[in-house]
Amino acid sequence: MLRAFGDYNEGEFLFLGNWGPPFLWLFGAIALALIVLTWLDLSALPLRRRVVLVGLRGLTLVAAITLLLEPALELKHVTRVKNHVVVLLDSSRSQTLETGGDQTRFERALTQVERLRRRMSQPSEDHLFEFFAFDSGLEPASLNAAATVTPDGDSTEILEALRAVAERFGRRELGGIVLISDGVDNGELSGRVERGEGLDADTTAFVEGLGVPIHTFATAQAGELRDVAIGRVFHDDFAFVRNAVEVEVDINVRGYESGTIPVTLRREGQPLQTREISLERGTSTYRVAFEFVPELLGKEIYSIDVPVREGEALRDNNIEHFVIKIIRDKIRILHVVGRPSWDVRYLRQLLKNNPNVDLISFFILRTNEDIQRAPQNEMALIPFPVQELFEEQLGSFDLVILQNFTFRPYRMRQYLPNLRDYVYGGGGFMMVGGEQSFASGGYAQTEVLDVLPVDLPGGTAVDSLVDPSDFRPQLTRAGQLHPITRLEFDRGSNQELWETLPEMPGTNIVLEARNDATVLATHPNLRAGGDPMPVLAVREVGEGRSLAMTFDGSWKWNFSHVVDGGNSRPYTSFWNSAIRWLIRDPALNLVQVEIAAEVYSPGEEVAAVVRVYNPDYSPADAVSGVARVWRRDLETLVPGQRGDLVSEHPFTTDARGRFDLRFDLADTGAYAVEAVAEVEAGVPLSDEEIFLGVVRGGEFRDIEPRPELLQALSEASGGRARIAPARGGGRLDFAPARVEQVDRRKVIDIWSAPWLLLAFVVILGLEWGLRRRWGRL
Amino acid sequence: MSVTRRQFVIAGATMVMGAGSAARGAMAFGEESRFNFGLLRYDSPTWNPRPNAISRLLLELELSTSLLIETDARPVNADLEDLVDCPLIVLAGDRGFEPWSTGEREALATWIRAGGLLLVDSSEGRADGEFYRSVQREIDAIMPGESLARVNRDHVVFKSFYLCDGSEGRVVVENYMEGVEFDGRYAILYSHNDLMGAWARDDFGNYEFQVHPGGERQRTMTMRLGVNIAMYALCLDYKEDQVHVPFILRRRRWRVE
Repeated sequence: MLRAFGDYNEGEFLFLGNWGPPFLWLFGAIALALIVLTWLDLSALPLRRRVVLVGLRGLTLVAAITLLLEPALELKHVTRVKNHVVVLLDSSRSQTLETGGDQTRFERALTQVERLRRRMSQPSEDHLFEFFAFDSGLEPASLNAAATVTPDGDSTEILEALRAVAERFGRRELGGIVLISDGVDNGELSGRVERGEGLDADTTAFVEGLGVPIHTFATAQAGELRDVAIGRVFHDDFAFVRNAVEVEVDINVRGYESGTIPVTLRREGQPLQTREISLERGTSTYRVAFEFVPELLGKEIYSIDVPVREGEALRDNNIEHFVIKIIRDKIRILHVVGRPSWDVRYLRQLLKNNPNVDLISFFILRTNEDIQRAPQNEMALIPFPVQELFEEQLGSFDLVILQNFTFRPYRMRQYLPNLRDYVYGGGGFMMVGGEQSFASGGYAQTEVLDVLPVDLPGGTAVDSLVDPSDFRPQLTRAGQLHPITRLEFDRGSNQELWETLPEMPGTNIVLEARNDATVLATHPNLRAGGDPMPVLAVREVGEGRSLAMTFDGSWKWNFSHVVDGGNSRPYTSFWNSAIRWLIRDPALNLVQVEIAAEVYSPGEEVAAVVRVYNPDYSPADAVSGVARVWRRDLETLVPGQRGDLVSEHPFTTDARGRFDLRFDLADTGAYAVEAVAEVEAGVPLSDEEIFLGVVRGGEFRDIEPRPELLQALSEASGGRARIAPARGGGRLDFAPARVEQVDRRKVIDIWSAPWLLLAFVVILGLEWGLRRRWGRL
Repeated sequence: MSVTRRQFVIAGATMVMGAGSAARGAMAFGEESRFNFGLLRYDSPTWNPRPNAISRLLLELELSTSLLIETDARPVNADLEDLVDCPLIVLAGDRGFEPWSTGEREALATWIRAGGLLLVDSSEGRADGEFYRSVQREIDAIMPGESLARVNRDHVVFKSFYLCDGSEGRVVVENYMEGVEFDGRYAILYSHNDLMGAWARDDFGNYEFQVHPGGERQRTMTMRLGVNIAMYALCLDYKEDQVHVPFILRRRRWRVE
């Protein structure tokens, strides 16, 4: 196509002769036959003359055929619609990395932009040049002010950027794309195309479907850097407490091919496990697997890190933080009973009827003191698996209930330290009374005493260790408010209910409560250390909790209370609350904090909700409280510490019992939102939830440039792939502008031109003359 | 001082059990903590046809299991004042009886809802006698829509301590027991075979009735079934659980191997 011809801005050759393809083939065949015959006819001549004459004959035939085809030139003046050529500049943070030379990738990119700018600043009839910076989205920019672009994007999403360009301009209006990047994609494209692989079918189809060339300029080349990076971390967002959890991580290693690298998994900053990888030549990604057992409910901050090696391009990618929410699937309870009784039966029935309870029961149905009246094979008894329960499997339980059980006949004295450690480590423990419990069960001089809420008498005089007289537990002030003994919402009604519940048939004798224990109910007559003797007490023990219940008649709160005309609610409420309290069920909290996400980036708005409930779990309206935001440095995490107070937000709950907290996150760190409210005057309740403030995205997980990925995009689209900065930008072809309309046209016949006829006559005459001269007619 | 055969047997058994068992009694909580049977007193001359039977079973429980027991059955009326202390009650008889009052029926219905277990022991020696029909009538009134049905032989009541099959008794009128389920457990168990007749001994320690057709082996098995019923009342389906314990224990991977 001719681009300009006088007043016309476009022209093209035409053939006016209306010959169809059969005739064209025929003309060609005749011409070929004539040339062959001429060649044979001139066989007697020397080769040079023969070639000259045959050549002239050929030219004659070409001229003749040309005349038959009637060539012409069509000149047009057309109106074009310019298409858009889009320049995409990668503005992600990986562009800040230095290349092998003294420039960063982004500086290389700017140099390339400058060279393109010179060319793209020239007037063009076909193209409008558009300039965008991209990372996780497109940002319009100016080709002349590229230097104002800041490479601070947290991800590189090439395919998403191309798709956005196509949607923005429409494929019909697009003339081409110039992509300037290091190719370190961490969007959809990297998920589709692994290193060393060609483009996948979907991406290829998408690129081809654009219908325009994508010219790429790679700002860095492979092999230019040395780095060890935490790549993708594969973990579930939540896990079950006391269930093994697997976490896998890819370690990306560039430029190091020997030695070992320790990879450490940490929980709340404390080392949990370390794995070592041995570097191998030709391997750049190493998969490392960890397995651990979370012991506590709630959210925990985990991190995986590798040490910084000499010469590393980047240190920020040597550590990755993440949050796992630890939840409970079922409450796993070990119920060990020294002697079947009605109290045992009712508790068992309650536990069995609770679908959220995984119950393991062991009842001592006979002891060695009992007479064996039948051969073993006629009895349905099994040995008591002491070791398995109290050594091998103890840690798998959320709650251990010892009910009227003494350890003495079962050679399990050696396992009692395990029970103590289990409670300190986060387990729930409850001792229910009976003549084989507490001091009369022999626990006074054991490690179990360390975790009980009450002290025990050390004597062995059996009469002094139990009191068989009936009594009615008296609620203490703490007991009136505690969720375990708060059987009725109204305090007065609750007190009244306790006063009408059936009496208990006897109690174990215990001493005073531990200093850090809470006494919920006392004996009306017996005293310990000058105070009423505790019969129901709870205690926080390390990470765990314990409860002492010195009587074994709570079944009467069900059976006798029902028969007396009441209902079983006091019994079920008491026990369900006791279990939930012992296992630290978060749902039992009257103040609850929820945070919408586990991870936020600096600059994002954090959304938290504080919910406050009345003791009957109805929403607490117009309750005042305060929410505090705490922050810890991720580098110096210490379990149990809150860190620095960031902000404080006094609040009053609305009719739904909630307060919505919004604040902007200023910095990275491990954050906690704490809410404190007084549902009842003088009794502050609190809850706390954590979240992570980190720069999100995997921009630095793998910083090895991928020029081959850019090249594959170029090749699939018909564009060119270059390494930036390329001189002058090289030759870049784009799709031509679309013609909107033809304003005027003119056809110039070439075949009828005198010079063409003259040329035909001259060639023919020259051939004739030479033939005669060389003796051929 | 005269010593009855019964006192002699108890004293001997106590010696066999040793000091630990002695301490067991000495340290016990109140009487209500001890296991006992109630014996339902109703309007019939034979509401207690085997007066020495239950205490014999209780003694057997004391000797062969870890239970802490009262030595004598406690007669109870079908009113809430009596029922409130006794979750396990025996209804015994050998003939039909008059319909109970509405108050009695309501009291028993409440008692069953609260968790009571009624063991019905027929000593009338036939399957569909007047006593059986009277009991069925009262069940209709106490638990409308419910009726006695055969207890499966692999039910936990037959393996709660010993291995039994339900055909035990002084006689074998039927080789199965019947029952009525409520809230996932048997609230009523019915034996056609005069269990108490096989348990009963006089004050001299002699068994009061011959056992047919299986003789002393059948008596032994009947005593075992009594132990099982007591264990079932206190432990419910505990023994059923034991089958699943290994699986439940190892189901979770809670440790890193």
